[in-house]
Amino acid sequence: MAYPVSIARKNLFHDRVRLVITLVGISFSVVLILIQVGVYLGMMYNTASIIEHTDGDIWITARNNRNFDFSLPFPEARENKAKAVIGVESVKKLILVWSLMKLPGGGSENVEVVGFDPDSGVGGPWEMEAGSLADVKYNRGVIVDESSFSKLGEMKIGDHREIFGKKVRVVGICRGARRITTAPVIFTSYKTAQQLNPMARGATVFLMVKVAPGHRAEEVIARLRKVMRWEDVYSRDEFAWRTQLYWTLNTGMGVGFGFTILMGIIVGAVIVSQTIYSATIEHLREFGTLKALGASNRTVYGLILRQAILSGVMGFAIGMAVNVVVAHLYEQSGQIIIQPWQLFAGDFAITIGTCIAASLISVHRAMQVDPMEVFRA
Amino acid sequence: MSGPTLELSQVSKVYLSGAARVVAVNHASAAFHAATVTAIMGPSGSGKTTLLSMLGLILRPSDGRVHLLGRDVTACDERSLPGLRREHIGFIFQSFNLFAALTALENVLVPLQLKKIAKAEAPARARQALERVGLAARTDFHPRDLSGGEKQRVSIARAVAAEAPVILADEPTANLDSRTGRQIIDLLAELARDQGRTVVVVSHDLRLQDHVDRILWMEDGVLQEGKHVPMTEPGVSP
Repeated sequence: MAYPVSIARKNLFHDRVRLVITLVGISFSVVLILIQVGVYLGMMYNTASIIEHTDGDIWITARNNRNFDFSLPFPEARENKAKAVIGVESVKKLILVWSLMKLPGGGSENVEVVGFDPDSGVGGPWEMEAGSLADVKYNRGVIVDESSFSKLGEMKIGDHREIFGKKVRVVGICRGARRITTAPVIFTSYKTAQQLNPMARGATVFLMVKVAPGHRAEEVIARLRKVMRWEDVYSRDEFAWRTQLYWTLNTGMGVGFGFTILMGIIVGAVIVSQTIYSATIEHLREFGTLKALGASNRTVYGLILRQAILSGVMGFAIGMAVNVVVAHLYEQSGQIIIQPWQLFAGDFAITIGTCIAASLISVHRAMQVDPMEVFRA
Repeated sequence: MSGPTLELSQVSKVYLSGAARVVAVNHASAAFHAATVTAIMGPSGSGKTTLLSMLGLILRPSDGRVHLLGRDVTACDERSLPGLRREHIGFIFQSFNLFAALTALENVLVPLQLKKIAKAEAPARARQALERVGLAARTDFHPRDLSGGEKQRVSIARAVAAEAPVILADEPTANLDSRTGRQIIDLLAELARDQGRTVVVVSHDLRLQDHVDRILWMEDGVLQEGKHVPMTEPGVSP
C-alpha cells in the first residue's frame, strides 16, 4: 500500500473503459501530429536535399526563380561575371533539365536530369551505392537514384537507357536524392545534361559560388547582387528555405498538412476535454467529500490537474510507441520521415497543454459544486 | 474541558429562491459538549442538514455565531475553514461518501494524508481505526465489495482515525437495516463515551432516541430542546 494515496492515479485506473477511451484519443492525436509533421519534414528535406548537400555558399539563379525543381536557364557566360567579384573563390555550374526516359517495357517517364561538374563533384550525388562519380564524364554516363527503380525499372551498372532520344549508360547507383516532384533524378555531367535537353544548350540553371577564405558570405552576396543584375543571388540557406516555402505555400501542401495537424490537436483536445470533464462530473461528490474532510480548493484542483497530466503522459507514451511502428513502416515503403527531438518535445508540450486546458474547464465546474452536495443521498 | 466543544448562538440561514426568502434555520442556539451524543431530529425539510452544514463549517450562517472549541469560526476567512474542518471535524454521511477507487484502508488514510500525518504513523492509525469498527479483515476491500453497514463503518473509521474531537453524522442509519443501524449508533455512542468525542447525529429515525444522550427537535427551521417522541409522530419515519 502506497502512502500518500494517489487519488488521481487510483481514480484514473478505476474506470478502465474511460481510461482506454482517453488514452486512445490522446495517442491518436499524438501519432497523427508526429507522423504528419514527420512526413512534411521529410518532404521538405527532399525539396532542398540537393541544395543542402552541395558545397556552394551562394546560389545564383535566373530572375524570380521560386524553387529548385522548376528553375529557368540563363546564359552560362554569366559565370565569368560572378568569377570577377571580390571574395569569390570558385564558381561551379549546375544544370537541371526536365527530360523523358524511355522505359524498357515501352512508354516513357519524366526525369529530372541534374548536370554537375564531375571533376569537383559539386552538385553531384552525395551517397553512392555503386559505381563512380567521375565515370559520368565518359559515354554519356548517368547515375540513377535507387528510389527511381519503382518508376524506371531495376537498373545496374553497364545498362543502357534512352533519354530524349539519346542513349545513356548507367555508371552508378546513388541513394537519398528523392525529389518532391516524384520524378526520378538522373545525375550526369554538365555537358551531357545540356545534350539531353536542347533548350539547355549554352545555358546553365544555377551558379554555385564558393566564398574565398577571409570573406564574409553576406558581403560577397551584396557584391554579386550588384553585378548579376539579371539574376537572383541567395545564400544556400536562403535558397533552400525559398524552395521549401514554395512547396509549402504554393502547392496547398502546407495547408493540407497544417489542417491535418490541426485536426489531430482538435480531436485530441475534444476527446481529452470530454473524458476529463465527464470524469470530474462523476467525481463531484468525491471532491465535495474531500473538501468536507478539510481539503483546500487547491488540493482538489491539484487532483484534477494530476489526473489530466497523468492521462497526457500515458497517452503520449503510447502514441510514441505507435509512432515508432508507423514511422518504420513508412520508411520501409521507401519514403523519408524526419522526426527531430524538437518535434517530440513540441508534441509533448501540446499534449500536456491540451490536457491541462481540458482540466481547467473541469476545475471551473468543480468550483461551482454546491457544498451541500455531500449530504445528498 | 468545561465549555462546550461546539456552540450555536442565534444562528440563521436564509436562502433566496427567486423572489421568495426561505428561512431554513431560524435563530438556532445550542451547545454541544464532549463525550455526549446529541441527536437533532425532525421531519424532512425541517433544516436539520442545513444546521449540520453550518456546524461542520461547510455553510456559513446568514446570521449568528458558531463557536468551535471556544473560537468564533464565523469570523474566520474562507481559506482557514478547510484547516479547521481537517483538524477538528469528522463527517459521517448518509451515502457513506467513500472514494470508489480506494480500498477501505486507503479511504481511512485520506484525512490522515490531508492532515499530513507521517508515513510511519498513518497506516498503523488507519488499521487501528478499521479494527476499532470491526473491519480488520476488510482493509483491502473496495467499497463496491462491502455491505452498507460495512461502508458506514469505514466512514466512521475515517472519522476515528482523523482523531477529530467533533463527529457530525448526517442520517447515518438511513440506508441500513435496523440491526446494522443500531450497531452504528452504538459505535458512535462508544466513541463519545470512550474517547470523549462530541457526536452530533442528524436523523429522522426515531429508533435513535433511546441510544443518545440528548435530543434536539427541529421543525420549520426552529431548533428546540427535544423530548422523547412517540413513534407515531407525523412527518417522521418509524
